[in-house]
Formats: sequence, structure tokens, C-alpha cells
Amino acid sequence: MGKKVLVVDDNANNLLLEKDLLEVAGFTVFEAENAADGLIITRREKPDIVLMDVRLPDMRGTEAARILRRDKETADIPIVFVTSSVMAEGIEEIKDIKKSGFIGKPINTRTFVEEISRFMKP
Amino acid sequence: MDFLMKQCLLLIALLMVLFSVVPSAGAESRVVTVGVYENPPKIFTPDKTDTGEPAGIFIDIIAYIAEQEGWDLKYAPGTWTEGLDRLAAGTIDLMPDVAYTASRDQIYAFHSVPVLSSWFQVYAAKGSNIHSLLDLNHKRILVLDRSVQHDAFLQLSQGFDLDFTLVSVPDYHTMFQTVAAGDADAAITNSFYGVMNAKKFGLHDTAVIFSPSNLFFAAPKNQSKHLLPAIDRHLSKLKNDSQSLYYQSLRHWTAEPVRFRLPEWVKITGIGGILLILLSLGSGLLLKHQVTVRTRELETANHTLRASEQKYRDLVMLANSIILRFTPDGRITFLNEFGQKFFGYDATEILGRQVVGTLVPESETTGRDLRPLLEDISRNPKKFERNVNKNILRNGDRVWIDWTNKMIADENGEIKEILSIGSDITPRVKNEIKIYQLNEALRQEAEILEQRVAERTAELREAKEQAEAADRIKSAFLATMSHELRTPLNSIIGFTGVLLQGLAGDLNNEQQKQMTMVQTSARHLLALINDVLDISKIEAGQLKVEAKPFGLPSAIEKTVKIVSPLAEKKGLQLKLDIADTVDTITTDQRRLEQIMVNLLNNAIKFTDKGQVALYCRKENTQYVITVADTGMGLREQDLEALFQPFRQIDSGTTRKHDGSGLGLSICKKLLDLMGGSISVESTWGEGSRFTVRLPVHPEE
Repeated sequence: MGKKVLVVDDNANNLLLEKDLLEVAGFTVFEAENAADGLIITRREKPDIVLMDVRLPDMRGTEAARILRRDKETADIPIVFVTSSVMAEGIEEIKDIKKSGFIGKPINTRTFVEEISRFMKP
Repeated sequence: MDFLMKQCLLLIALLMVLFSVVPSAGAESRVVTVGVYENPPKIFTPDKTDTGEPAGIFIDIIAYIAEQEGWDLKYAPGTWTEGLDRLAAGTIDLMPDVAYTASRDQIYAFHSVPVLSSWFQVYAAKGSNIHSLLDLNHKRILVLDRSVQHDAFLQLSQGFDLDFTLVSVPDYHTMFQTVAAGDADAAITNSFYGVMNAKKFGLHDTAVIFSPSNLFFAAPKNQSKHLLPAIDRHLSKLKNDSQSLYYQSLRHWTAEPVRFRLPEWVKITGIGGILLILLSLGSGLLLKHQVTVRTRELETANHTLRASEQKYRDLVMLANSIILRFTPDGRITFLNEFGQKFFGYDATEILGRQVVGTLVPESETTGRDLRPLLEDISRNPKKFERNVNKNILRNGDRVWIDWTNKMIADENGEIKEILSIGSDITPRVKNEIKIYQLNEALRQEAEILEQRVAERTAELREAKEQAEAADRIKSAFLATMSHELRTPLNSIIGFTGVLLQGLAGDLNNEQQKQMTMVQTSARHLLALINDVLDISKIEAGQLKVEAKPFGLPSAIEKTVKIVSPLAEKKGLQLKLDIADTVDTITTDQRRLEQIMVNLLNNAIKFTDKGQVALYCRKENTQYVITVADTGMGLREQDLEALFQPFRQIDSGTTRKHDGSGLGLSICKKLLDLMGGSISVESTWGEGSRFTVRLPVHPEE
């Protein structure tokens, strides 16, 4: 069984795109369309990495990430923000979250998986 | 001579009587210690006597009293201040030659009949016309250095408006010598020195006598129950008898020491006799005479002063003051000539008329009602001793007058008349009003200015807040736009990519071609979005450039690498020439790379054959980066608008090239922010040269 990835994105198309790319690469993909679901799945499944959109319907992805960092069991799970908020303010927002990364949308389908793998434990 | 002999006989007789009394008084003999200091002839220790026994007027008198009272006298020699200290400490019983003062009375006990009276007196050369104080005008007068006489004389002369020169000298002897030599006009000494020495220097005493003081024996406080009353008792008796030892002693010590020579015996005795007679009249008589003279002087001086003051007052009043008298009910009884001229009335016209309504208007222009003024003045004269109010001239002009009012009462204290002396202060008041108005105007002007400043400040603050709010809205808008456009593009480009990569199955050639067109268009749209956002950010002032040092050659090589596949694809030669002097640059690396990529992409895009070259060299404090191509070039009329947004130059009727048309305008705006510049040279059909200049290090 491949590594577990949680993708949190409220846009169904983008969620599907990321899921397709990751599954092709052999990951087990969990999906969440809002932060609350993302938190529940993270605690339950302890994925190897979380791909988090920043603009989510219930809270900001960065906020959900901070909640995960406070919990001992989820504190060390790498979180990569895959977001359309590529302007300076968006990047500033995630700067202080440990073990986090940033991939701007639109994603490069050829390099996406490789980029994700770089944030994961070997 | 007879007289002198008689005196001597008397003295002897007296002494004999005294001696015969002593044994009987000896029963209550007590020791009385007397302080001794040097102040001849009052008290001193003569050089000639080897006994060391003191002598002088005070010693004669106390010795006499001691004999009478059966006291055993002891002497305690010392300085004047030692004597006073001893007296205060109670180690001596009596201190002679102490002038009575209120402050000393607190410390010592005094008897009541003075032993001597002393004063200061002015002496002048014989034949000079100095007799009274007024004669000292314009004279040169000697006074003992730092003496009480100095201050006392100045105080005395103060009221007389005299002009004299006061010269300090160290001692009386010098003083008399100087006057005798004619180098000064007068000398101030104490009376005893004067009496003893005036004749010797050919000087005479004047009527100028001042600061009299009485001299006593002083005793310690509360220890004088018997001593002081005894001294008083004897002094009264002694002073009542002109033949007594008291006067003998005075004569003895104050007379000029005379050398007796036999041939002049008669003559000298005669002079001595006359002197003795004069002295026997006593200092009292002399003093009385001199006090009378002085009193007369003072009276004369006072009279003169009063007369001159009156004269002065009259002059002033008649010259430029209004003098007005009126009854308490306001009827004018007098107006001086000046007043009549001033107000414009004849005496016949104005006398008997009411003050209010003629000289005083019924109200001031300020609205102050002046009708009750007179009533107020007579009711409360103190408050109206000075009064400034508006008055009115016959011709209707209003004037300000400063009045000094005086109530004139009859013997019953009833106010009979009011005397008012006034001076015209209209010019002053007018000036004051003018100054006040000017100040007021200035103040109002300043207030208006301040208000305007406050308004402008508020406006500016509001404008600033609005601008800041607008900026915030712009930022939010840009961020939102960026996000909202990227989200669908992510799907379009992403799934196109998935299809093109064959992840969803193989595509046929036509599908592959069409999907590539979708992807290219989507990427172009993305580039366009990025450019629009960039330029919007720059124009909104949202874009900040960094300034960090980095190696310029490697940055250039990196950008060339990015564009090289494109050049290769078009079969263009890509040439790079970086001078050895090019090293570190301090600027925004990402933005500089963006600019260079943009220029290289443009060059490649518009060049179909030949080469694209990038040159970089250092010129003083600048780096110069040139991108040259052998492409189509630019027409002269297009050069100007080249750096404006959305100005892609069309090569013909159809738009042949991709691009937003924003690239060069973004480059220019970025270089402006980075402190650099961009320029272009081109020949139509031959190619273009874009030159970027950037400072090696930005100015601080």
C-alpha cells in the first residue's frame, strides 16, 4: 500500500485533478472539502502528508494547520499549501508554520508529484 | 590767673574734704573693676606715666565717685571690644565711654545722667566763609575713612541738594593738616578732637553739628543696683556746680596743652583763662547754640523747599493742566485758562453750568453712562482720586482726560467743592486703542489661519485615510482576482496536462494538437493575468522591490538558460558577453531576472533569423545590460509609445505574436522602482537594441 495523502480543497475540479495525479503516482488519497473534515481525517488516518488549500469554506487552511500542529499526534505531519493565493500576503501567512511547503496554482502536472515527495519523510 | 588759682585751691579743699570722708565710707568698701581702653582725652593710658595708671575725663570722674563711695577701683586694660565683651560676661563692673543705644540697652545697664555728650562737627580754616551746612556747597570735605561720620554726614546733607566732594582720610591728624595746608575746605571730626586740636591747626569750628550721642558708664545687666544710682547721684551734683571736679576735668583734658614760658606767662595765662571761661560755659551751652543755628538752617531750607515746590506746582498747573472746580451737585465754579482754551468756552459761558452735559458727555461711546459719575465721585472720593473718562469739547470732539480729584471740605467735614486737575491723554488712549485694534486684528487673523491649518490638516488626514482605505480595497481586489482566476485555470491547465501526458489514455495526433492549443492558450491567459496583476500592483504602489547583493553574471547566465530552448527552436544564435569587471549587484534579483527574460523573449520572438545577443559591462557606478537582435526593428513613430501598457507593435495587418503587450511597460516601471532606466535604439528592418542601466549599489 502506497503512502497516504490527504487533499483538502473546496473546489471539486481541483480536488479531482490532484487526486488523479497522486493516485497515478501510487498514493492512497483521502479527500476533504472543508477544514473540519480534513482535521477529522488527519487524526484518524495519520497521513504521510496533507495538501491543504488556503481558502476553505469553514476556516483558513493555515488555521487548520495550526490546530494540527498543537496536537502531539499530528504535529509532525508535513503540510503543503496548494493555493491560488500566490501574492505576497498569502505566502506571508504560512511562513511560521513548521514543516510546511507551498505550491502555487496552477500546478504543473509534470512536476507536481515530485514536488510533493520532496516534503515527505524518506 | 586769679581764677586758675582759685580753682586749684578749691580742688585742694575738695580733695581734703574727700579724704576726710574716706575712712568713714571704708566700712562698706567694695572692689569695682573698670574697663580701660585708649580714646584720649576721654580715657587712655598716658605714655609719660610709668605707673601705668589710666587717665582721662572718665577716670577723673569715676575716681572721684569711688572716693566718695569708698569703692576700691581696679582697672582692666584692653581694647574697646574686649571691654564690651568683659562687661557682657560680668568680669568687669563698669565700662566707660559707652554711647547709649537701644540695642546696647538690651545687653547692658546704663545710668541716666550722661557723663559727656559727643557729636560730630565740621571744622574749616580760619578766614574761610564756611559757617553753615549750605556753605559747604561745591566744597571739598574730608572725612575719616569708613567712619560712622561718613554715613551720618551724607544722611544729614541729603535733603539740601548740595554738591560737594567727600574725601576719605585715614586719621584726624592728616585731616586737619590737609585743611590747614589749604588742600581741602573742611574736615569732619568728633567734637573732642576738634576742641583739642582746632586751634593748633588754625581751624575754626562751624555750626555744622550732627549725630549727637550721650556717653555713659555701662554696667552688666542686673548687677548695678548700687553702682549706677551712685554714679547718677554724683554726676547730677557735679554737673550742677560749674566749679566742680567734673568741669575741672573737662577743662583739663580738652584745653590745648600749653608750654609755659616765663616771659609769656601773663599772656598765656590770659588766653588760658579765656579758654577756661569759655569751656566752663560747658558743652551744654555750645550745643544749645549750635542746635539753634541748625534748627534755623533747617527751617530756612524747608521754607525754600516749600516755596519752590509751590512755584513748580503752579507752573505745571497753569501750563498744561485743566483745573476744574465744581460743587457736589455738579455746578462748575472754576475752570482755569488752559481749561477754557482746551474745552473752547469762555469763563462767562461755562461758570455755573453743569459738568455733565458740558464738559462731560452723558455717556461714553462705549455706552458707559456718565450721569451718575459726579455722584459717585462725591460719595466715594477715595475711589475717584484718579479717574479716566471721556470728556467732550465745545466743538463736539471727544477727548480722554486723566483726572486727579480732591474733595475740598469745610470745617464741618462737609464736601464743599471738588477740585479736579486733568490732563489730556487722548493721543495716548488713541494709540492704545489702535494698538489694541491691531492686536485684535492680528489675533483674529492668527485664529483664522490656525483654523485653516486645522481644517487643512483634517482634510489631509481624511484624504490620507481615504487613500489608505482605497489601497486596502485595491490590495484585497487584486488578491481576490488573482485567486479567483487561478482556481479555474488550475483545472484547465492541470487536466490538459493530464491528457497530454497520456495519463488518461493515449491521444491521437489531432487530439494531441488540439489539447496543446488549449494548454498554450491557457498558459497565455495565465501570463496575461500575471502581467495585469503586476502592473496593477505597481500602479497601486503595492509592489515593493528588494535590495540584496547577488552575483550578476550567474543571474544573467540563468536567464539565458531559460530562453535558450526557444532560440534553439527558432534556429537563432544566442550570444552572451559579460565583461570581467561585472561582479555583484545590489537590487531585486527576481525582478531583474524577470526584466531580462522579458527582453530576451521579445528579441527572440521578433527575430526570425540571425542572432540575439546580451552584453553586460560596468560603467562607473552602473551596470549596463544590452539585449540586441537582428529582427524586424521598430519604426521611429513607434518608439515613443513602446513603454506604454498594451502597445504591442503590429508587424502588419494581422497580429502575429503572442504577448500581453504589457512586458515592456512592466520592465520600465520595475526599473523606475529599482533606480534604473531602460532605453531603446532601433532601425526599421535591421534590429533593435534595448539598454538597461542599473546602479551597482542603490544610493542610501
